[in-house]
Amino acid sequence: MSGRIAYGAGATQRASIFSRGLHIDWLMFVATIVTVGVGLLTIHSTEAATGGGYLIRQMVAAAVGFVGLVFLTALPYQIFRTYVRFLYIVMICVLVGVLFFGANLRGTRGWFHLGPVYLQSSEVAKPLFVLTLAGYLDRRIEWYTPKSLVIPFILAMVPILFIIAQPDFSSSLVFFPVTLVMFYVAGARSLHLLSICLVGALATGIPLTSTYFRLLGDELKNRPVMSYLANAFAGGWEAAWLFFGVCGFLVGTWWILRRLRLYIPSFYMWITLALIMIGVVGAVGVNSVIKDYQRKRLVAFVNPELDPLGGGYNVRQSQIAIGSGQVFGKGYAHGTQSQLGFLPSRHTDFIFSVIGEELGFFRAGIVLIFYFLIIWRGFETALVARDRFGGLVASGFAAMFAFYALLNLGMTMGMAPVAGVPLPMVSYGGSSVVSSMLAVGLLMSVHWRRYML
Amino acid sequence: MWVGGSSDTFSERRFRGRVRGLSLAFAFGCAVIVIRLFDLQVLRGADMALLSESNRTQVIFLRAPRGDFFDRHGRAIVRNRPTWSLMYSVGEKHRKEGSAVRSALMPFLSPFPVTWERRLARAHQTGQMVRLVENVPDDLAFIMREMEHLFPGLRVVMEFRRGYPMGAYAAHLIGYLGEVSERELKVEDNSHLKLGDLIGKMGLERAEDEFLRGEDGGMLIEVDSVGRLKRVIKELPFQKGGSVHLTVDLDLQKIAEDSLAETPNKRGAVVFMDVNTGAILVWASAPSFDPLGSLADELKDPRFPFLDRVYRGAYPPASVFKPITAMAAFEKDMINTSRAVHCVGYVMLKDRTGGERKYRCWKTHGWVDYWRAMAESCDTYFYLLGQQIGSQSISEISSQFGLGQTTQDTLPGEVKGVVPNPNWKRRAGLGGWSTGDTFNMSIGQGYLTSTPLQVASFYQALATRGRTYMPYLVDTLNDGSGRIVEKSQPRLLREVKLKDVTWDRVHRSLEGVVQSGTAGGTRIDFLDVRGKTGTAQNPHGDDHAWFAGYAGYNGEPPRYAVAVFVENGGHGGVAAVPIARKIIEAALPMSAAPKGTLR
Repeated sequence: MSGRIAYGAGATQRASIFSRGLHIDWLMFVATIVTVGVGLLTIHSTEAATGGGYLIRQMVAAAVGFVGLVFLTALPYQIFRTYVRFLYIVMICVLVGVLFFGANLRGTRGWFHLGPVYLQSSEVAKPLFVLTLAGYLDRRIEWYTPKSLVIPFILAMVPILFIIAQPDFSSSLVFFPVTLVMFYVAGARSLHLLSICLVGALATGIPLTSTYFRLLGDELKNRPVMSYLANAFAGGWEAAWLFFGVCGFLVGTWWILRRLRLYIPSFYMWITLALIMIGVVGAVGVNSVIKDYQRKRLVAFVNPELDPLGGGYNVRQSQIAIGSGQVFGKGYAHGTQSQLGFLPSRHTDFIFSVIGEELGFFRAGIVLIFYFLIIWRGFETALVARDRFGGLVASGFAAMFAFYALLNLGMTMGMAPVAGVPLPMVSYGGSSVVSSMLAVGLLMSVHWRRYML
Repeated sequence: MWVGGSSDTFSERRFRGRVRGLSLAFAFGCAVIVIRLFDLQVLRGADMALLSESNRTQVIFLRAPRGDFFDRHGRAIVRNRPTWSLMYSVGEKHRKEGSAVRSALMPFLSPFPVTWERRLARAHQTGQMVRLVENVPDDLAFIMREMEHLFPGLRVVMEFRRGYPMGAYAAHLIGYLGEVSERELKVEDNSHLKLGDLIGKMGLERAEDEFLRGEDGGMLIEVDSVGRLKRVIKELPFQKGGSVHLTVDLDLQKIAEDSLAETPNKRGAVVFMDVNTGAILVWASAPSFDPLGSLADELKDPRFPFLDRVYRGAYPPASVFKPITAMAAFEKDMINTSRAVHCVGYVMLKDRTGGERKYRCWKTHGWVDYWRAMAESCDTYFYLLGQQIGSQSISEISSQFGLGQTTQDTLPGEVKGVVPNPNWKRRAGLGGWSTGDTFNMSIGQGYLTSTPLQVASFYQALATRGRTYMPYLVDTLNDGSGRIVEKSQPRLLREVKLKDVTWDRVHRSLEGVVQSGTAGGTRIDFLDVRGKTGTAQNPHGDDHAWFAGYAGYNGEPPRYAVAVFVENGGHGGVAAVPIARKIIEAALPMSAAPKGTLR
């Protein structure tokens, strides 16, 4: 049963803001300011090579974000719960509208051109997505049947699909873990979530494996099993045989276990088969969504030699950059890897490589600690939230930042594929900075209002 | 407890538990990231720093210009001239496929030897900078400058190459340069060399290689990811190599080489030296070769252009040897200069088996005394003279004049020639010594061989009454800034002690050769030229022509000794004498004659 909060206490709450000023999450606030500041300094450092303009724009965005952060901190977050339907509609309108009225940048129709600035629609969608999903999940307590997962899943998938349609696969990535985490903490059953994961793994795994085999090319000639698999993943007749083989194997196993008097309800078998089916169908869809260079980058993570001049090159140069910073760094604006252009996307996705190279282990480590602090405070906020909605919002944003941090940092150090995600608040990108600072504002708002009346 | 929620404590507890679980998982992720950062920056930091360093820096060697060669008047024989070379290195980023670069360069580089394709492949294999082609013409160099933008690894650089401002004279003497071979690199002494270096492969370029080389400099440059030069981190200037001032006179050298090139077979050698010092003014060997040309073509030439006939070709000296025989006889007092011998064109000699052999003279002279025998080069006279004094005394005098020995100890590969004696013949497995051998020896034939350099050295000693100076070519060695670091001093090798009367008579007889004999072609009014022609019998073809002698202004001591050898030239008086005359005329011009020497 969804519980509606009695809002009669609102006036009292506003009146007491000032008396509770000391309860603001100052740690989160300071860590955010430091992180944004480090981002600005690093962008300034890379400007010598890239030419001006980035720093000013990033500073303006940070200022806007700061105002938004303060505003949202002050604003009682419960307001959003009240207008959750409206917010959802706004989000969908933004995402649909950008497909019609958006500007096309780098092959993606994902930006609104508003005078001097470009606003990235997926960044607008991010906080709205977390708020609306939290609002919906807050009212749903009953989680015992798979059916209960269907409607929130569809609600979550709609904006994601619009972003993929832009097409902006990289920006859509973060929505998946956020959705899963929010489902999870809201109380969804692990088995159901695992099923979703299975479908997702099949849908993305099959096209990537296909790319992998394609890039291996001639190396497979003398290996019959591998070349058979390669043909299967290339979509030949072998694919059908393989699919039926796997299904047959599952049915056979189930039947044998049954003969061995190990009874497993046939329901599970049918569900598994259905999931595989959905996964394979999904794979066809994903196949047309991921661009060739993206697959190559993802695959190059497994085997850098397959794409030495593309994704492999980026990761290698990034690792060299970070490693060559050693303990004390090469000095601010003295990173040779970044200043001489060996490092790709140095002011955006690979900005941490610049930090690592120029600041060295100690100082880059301190930067990391500040960054992790924000995320840790996010999880803490989820724990201390005064209501379920606040807890869901906080865990959604914490999951978002955690995903970005681990994937982006892992990528710069060669531990994760080059998925094209930025390091929020540090990487250059106005929409991203504003959106992330708004998210911090919401977290602080939840934290501030943690005490019951 | 959550505000506003129903009393669903189970749901709330699960929420908290799951958030804590996620937060723990995140903490684990953070730990992994930090450990990885530690691994990259602290544990592997030094390796990574090296990688980053090799990313951004490149070493460019600045080849030191090699030292020059000058002649005795300070005219440049070999000089450095700036040329364009095309260098290539693979950039770290935006590296093009080797095949793409190759096909892009193909239309421009097709006139060059195909080795550039192999070097390109090497650049892609090893990542090193290679020299694709050298001696790029100016117009192509400009085209390549434009291409540098398309192919950032491409670089047109200026390098110094050998140039011959007056033409490629004295090629044998100076030698040529070639890229150091893999085998040469393995030699320990060559540790200062690197692949692609040019080293002297022959002549003085080789002998004085280290002195001429100078010290290469280098530039450590910083490049960006597409291989463009950003700044010079360190520059070590090169030290120009030292220069060599030769004793050679380029004008005379030219005359000698051009004259040799006009002979029928274009093979031969000329040596022209200062009798009072041993300084060599002409050192010519024909055929010559183009030091900048293709080695492969020259090696195919059946005339052995690389053979320096001056000191590596040993030939029968023939009649230019006859003064030795005469001197041996004078020393033994076994000759009466006015006693005549009747030359019927040959001498019959019984050999050991009892048969008879005919030893020919080149013509029928009739009655000849010593003076006429020398002037007209009568073999009959010298056969009999040799028989009278014996081979032993001839070879003794020969050795005193340095025949059968190297003229110096610093000329690698110098051929000694042969002064035969009974022991030598037996050891060589040619049987016992016979009178016929003595006959042949006394006219400079048979087993006797000597190099043009030895012959010149012999006539130098003859001109100075026995004071033998070591022939030398290098006057001074000057370092890169032109300071003299070494100056050659004339070195008296030995003094041949003979009776005054011996010298007088030989000198007089050699004057007769020029004034009234076979070397009439060298008769010049205001000069005192003395010498001897020679015609070496050659069982393989036409006879070899010789002229050896010395010359000075009238009434003065002789100044220069000369030896001219023309392979298959025929009669010495016809083939060799005119060449000697041209050189002598040029070396001792009338305009420079001291007063009173003009008749």
